[in-house]
Amino acid sequence: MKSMPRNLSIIISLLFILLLFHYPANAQIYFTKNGYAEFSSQSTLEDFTGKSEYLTGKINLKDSTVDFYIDLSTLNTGIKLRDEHMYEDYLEVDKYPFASLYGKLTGITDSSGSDTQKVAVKGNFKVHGISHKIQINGNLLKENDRLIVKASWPLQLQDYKIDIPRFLFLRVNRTIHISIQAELKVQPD
Amino acid sequence: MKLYQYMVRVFVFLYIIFGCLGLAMGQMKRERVKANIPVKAIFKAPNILLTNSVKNPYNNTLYMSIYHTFGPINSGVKEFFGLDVSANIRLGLDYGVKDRFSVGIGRTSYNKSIDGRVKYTLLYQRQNNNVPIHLSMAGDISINTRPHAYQEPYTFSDKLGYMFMIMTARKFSDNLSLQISPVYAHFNKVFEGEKNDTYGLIMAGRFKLTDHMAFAMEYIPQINKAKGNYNMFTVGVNIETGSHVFQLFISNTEYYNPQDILRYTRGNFWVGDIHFGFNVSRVFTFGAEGLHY
Repeated sequence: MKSMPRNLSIIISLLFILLLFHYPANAQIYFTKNGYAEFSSQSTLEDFTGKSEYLTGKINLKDSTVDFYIDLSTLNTGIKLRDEHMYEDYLEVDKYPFASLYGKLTGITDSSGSDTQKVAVKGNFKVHGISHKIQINGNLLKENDRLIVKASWPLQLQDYKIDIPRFLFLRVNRTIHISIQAELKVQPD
Repeated sequence: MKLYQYMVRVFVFLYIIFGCLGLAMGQMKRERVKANIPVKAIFKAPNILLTNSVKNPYNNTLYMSIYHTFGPINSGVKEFFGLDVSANIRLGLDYGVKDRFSVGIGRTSYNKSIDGRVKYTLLYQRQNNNVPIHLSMAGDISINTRPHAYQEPYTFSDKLGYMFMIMTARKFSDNLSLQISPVYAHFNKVFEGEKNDTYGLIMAGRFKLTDHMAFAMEYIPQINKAKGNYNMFTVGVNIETGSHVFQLFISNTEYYNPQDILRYTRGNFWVGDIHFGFNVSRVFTFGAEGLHY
């Protein structure tokens, strides 16, 4: 067998090096496992709020991807019986355990340590097994080693085929307001 | 094709594949929070059909219940399959003093008995399986207030009956929960042929058919049955609608308190000595934000 020409060996080595360094440097990735999320329902008879401190989120500034999800069984409305009905009957948590948002971040400027910026996320929001394209507007504060994000948006229960509770125990508005707040730390290498 | 050309192609191919994977891997793996928190909704109500479930009413939650069982179905069309016969009715209230502790009172029309009961939850099954089962204990004391309950002379204590049970249950999946409960019952005075002390093992379970409906059954093999008694067997459905729980069933007993079930189950399920029954429970919650109903 003829030995390989030198320049081709170099090309192959370069390709190999490229392969290893393909992934973006970690300094651009921010992550949290304990962001805060809540939903609230206002109706003439009863207002209530469900809260969780288990919002997981990752923001990659290199490719502008935003990836958030939450285990819905961590939502707590303050009344255990109501939680039980919510998990079992309406959100069907065992079948559809997560709500998630995956999309692209727009509107961010690169300046670090500046004021809060208005940003938007365009992507898919998925809950109860149904996914819809949405745009969410929010605020982002970028500091050296962390991002602080805040956003809120309305959700129509029927868009996600979540039964509007017909029974007295859960008096829920068709429109639920969701808000999230999270502090994402830069991921250590 | 020369070997090195081939190798270049392989690397280009790998580069493209890994490049694409890199993009696809942008989405994190979704993981459930497996916290050390109690598994919820193991059963829908503090009772499965006729007997106690391991579940306690939550703190400040009141279950108001009305239980009925009718006459034997094999009494035929003459008695309209038991519906003409006056039903045994138990009216009950069970209140969650704490999440783990509840008290209840009830009145049963047969024997005009009044009973008080308590239930305490020792262990909750945990999501992360640190504790694999629910474990509760329940006790009940009943007083037969029927005049001339026994032939004179008899004392007040002769009218008392007791029950103690230990309930263990596990929610195996979203749909399936099973429970086993050893039960002991004692009556201070019984008629000839009956037994003062009886022991049984309640085997019960539910299987969810839809979000709001579950199939349920209960079977009590009795260890030292009195002559003429049968093992209690009940099958039915639980229907839950937010603040109500409806339970429809057929059973070979007409009684509700476990001590009465162990003493008075005299129908042979398999030859049709069965009764139709239904229970309705209404749930009220007295939260910090007021009454929820």
